[in-house]
Amino acid sequence: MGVILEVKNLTKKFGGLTAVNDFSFEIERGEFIGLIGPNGAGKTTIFNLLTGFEKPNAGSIRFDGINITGMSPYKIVNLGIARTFQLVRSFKFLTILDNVSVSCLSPRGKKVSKDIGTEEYASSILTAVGLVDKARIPPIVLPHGDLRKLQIGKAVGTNPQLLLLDEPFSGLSHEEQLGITDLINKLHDDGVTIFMTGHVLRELMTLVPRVLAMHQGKLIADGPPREVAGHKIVLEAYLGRGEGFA
Amino acid sequence: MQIRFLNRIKENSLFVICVSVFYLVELTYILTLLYYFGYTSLILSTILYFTLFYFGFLYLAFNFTILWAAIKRNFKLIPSAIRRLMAWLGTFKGGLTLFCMLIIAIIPLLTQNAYYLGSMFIVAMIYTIYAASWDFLAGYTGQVSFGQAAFFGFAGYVTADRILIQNWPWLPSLFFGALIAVLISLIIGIPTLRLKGPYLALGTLSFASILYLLFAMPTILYGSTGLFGVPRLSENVIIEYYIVFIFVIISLTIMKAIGNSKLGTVFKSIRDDETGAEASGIHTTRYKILAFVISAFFAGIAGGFFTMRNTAVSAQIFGTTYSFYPLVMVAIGGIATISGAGVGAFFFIFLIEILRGVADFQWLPAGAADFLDDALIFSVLLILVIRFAGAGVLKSAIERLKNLWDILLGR
Repeated sequence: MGVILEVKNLTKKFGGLTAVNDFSFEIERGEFIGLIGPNGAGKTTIFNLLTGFEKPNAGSIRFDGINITGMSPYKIVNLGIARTFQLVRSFKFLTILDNVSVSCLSPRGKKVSKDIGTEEYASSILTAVGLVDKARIPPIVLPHGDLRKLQIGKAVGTNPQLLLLDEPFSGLSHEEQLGITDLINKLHDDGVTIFMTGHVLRELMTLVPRVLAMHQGKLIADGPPREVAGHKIVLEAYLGRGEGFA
Repeated sequence: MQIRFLNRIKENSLFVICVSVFYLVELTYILTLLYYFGYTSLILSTILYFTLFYFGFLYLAFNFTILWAAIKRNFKLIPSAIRRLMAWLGTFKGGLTLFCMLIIAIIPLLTQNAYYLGSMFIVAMIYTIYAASWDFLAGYTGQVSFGQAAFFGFAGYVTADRILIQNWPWLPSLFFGALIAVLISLIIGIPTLRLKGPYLALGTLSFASILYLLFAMPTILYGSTGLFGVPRLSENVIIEYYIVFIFVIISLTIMKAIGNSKLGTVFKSIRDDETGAEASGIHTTRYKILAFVISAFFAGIAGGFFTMRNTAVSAQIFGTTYSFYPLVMVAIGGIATISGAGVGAFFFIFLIEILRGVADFQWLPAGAADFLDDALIFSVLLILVIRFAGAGVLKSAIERLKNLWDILLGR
């Protein structure tokens, strides 16, 4: 299997605030891993650093043996790290199919789509995420749950090895959450390494076999969910803000 | 390696268009050389052409191989393309487009008045290409340029220079001007396209202003008087009309086709959400520069025609007026439609003409009248359009027409 992502001493400062502080971890190929922490712990910053949307002040990121620290986002995507955003983003005047086609037209997506055709490849992704019957409508009319699915579809279009999901469940009803859970499990079974965040733990803890917990930019625990949930600092970090584990 | 390269290139149907345009330019180049050396020196010009510029026949043969492979690959697409075209012409929009094209095509049969044909219809058609080029950049890629006059004007100057000073025929001059506009767009685009929103608009505007100052200087380049005495396309205004008409059709079709292609999808994704496009693995800067270059090419074509129509060109062509003309026209016609640029251009030119007849600015001091009637029409029109037809008049007009049509047919 081997290590797919290796992060060493990652640090990011915004003015006087240290959002990510000396953060190190490794992800094995094919792993399914969660990142938890209270609001403002720095989870999204970690994702932004991993995908090149922010440049770190110190530390290094190696993906698949390549040093990707400070690379531009599109280069990182084409190496095989795709991400979704906490707030849904879509190309609002393009159809759902074209939204996914854009990813399929990226250099990495093209490697897959050139044999079967862009449209067919995009349709197959829409079938997988369950939006194929809405292929010809623009995303502005979609409900929130479908937009989350579209997010994942857009990321999958670039044929990623490692998929970063930023709060994939936020703002969803229970049924919608189950749908996304199935989708993520299916992707993991297809061999995609998955790294996801969440600040409400209920869904995450039942889904992933390994969890990283962070608080104020620091890694405070790393292990199976049950162990991490019982960790003293984790409890303090959460209980201090009046939030508990369900 | 060569085979892989070939395969990769063959897949791109856009490539066929590019190579075809390239051949057109090469052909015009050979013709120009012939023009210089005369037909007696055919061999000399051929030798010069192949040795100096393209390292011999091998290069050309290689090009032919690629082109032929690309055509063969795309050949089977032609029947389905024709079928789709016919189906489209059967729809309301397609029929309307065909109808409008026919109307414009038969105008010279209805009036031979040189003023109407020349100063209104031909100018409006030239502005159509110009405004469409701006719409391509702003409507499809979301990059708002306030310096489109830089390409328009530069190509105008270069075309005039080639025709007047180098004695080139008009067609190679026109393409040469457009190619230089492409070069200028690279020089302007590579630094400015890193800017976003209003900063990009100001950045492009400042480049156009620099060019204005440069060309307005009395001693360098062509001096403050500019170039004049450029011959028209033809002595006969009707021939001129049809040449420009053909160029309008070709230019708009190419821009529309690119907009509807996969490349267009990528352009539109950058317009809708640049960060999202980057997260989808798109090299946004590269695509923005590509859109800029395509836009500059067509603005350059328009600039060349404009110079030939006016028989003169001066630094005024880099003025903000010419940068804002396409903006107003596209706002009238509707953004991201391409054909809306045509509606806007005709509407604009004819409105100015009508208002010139009606409005009487005699009571103003001399000189102020000219400024006022253009500026007034500009601002009033823009305010009215933004207030009452935010998406441009074309879309709502087509909808109303379609409703009327349905009622007439009893649907």
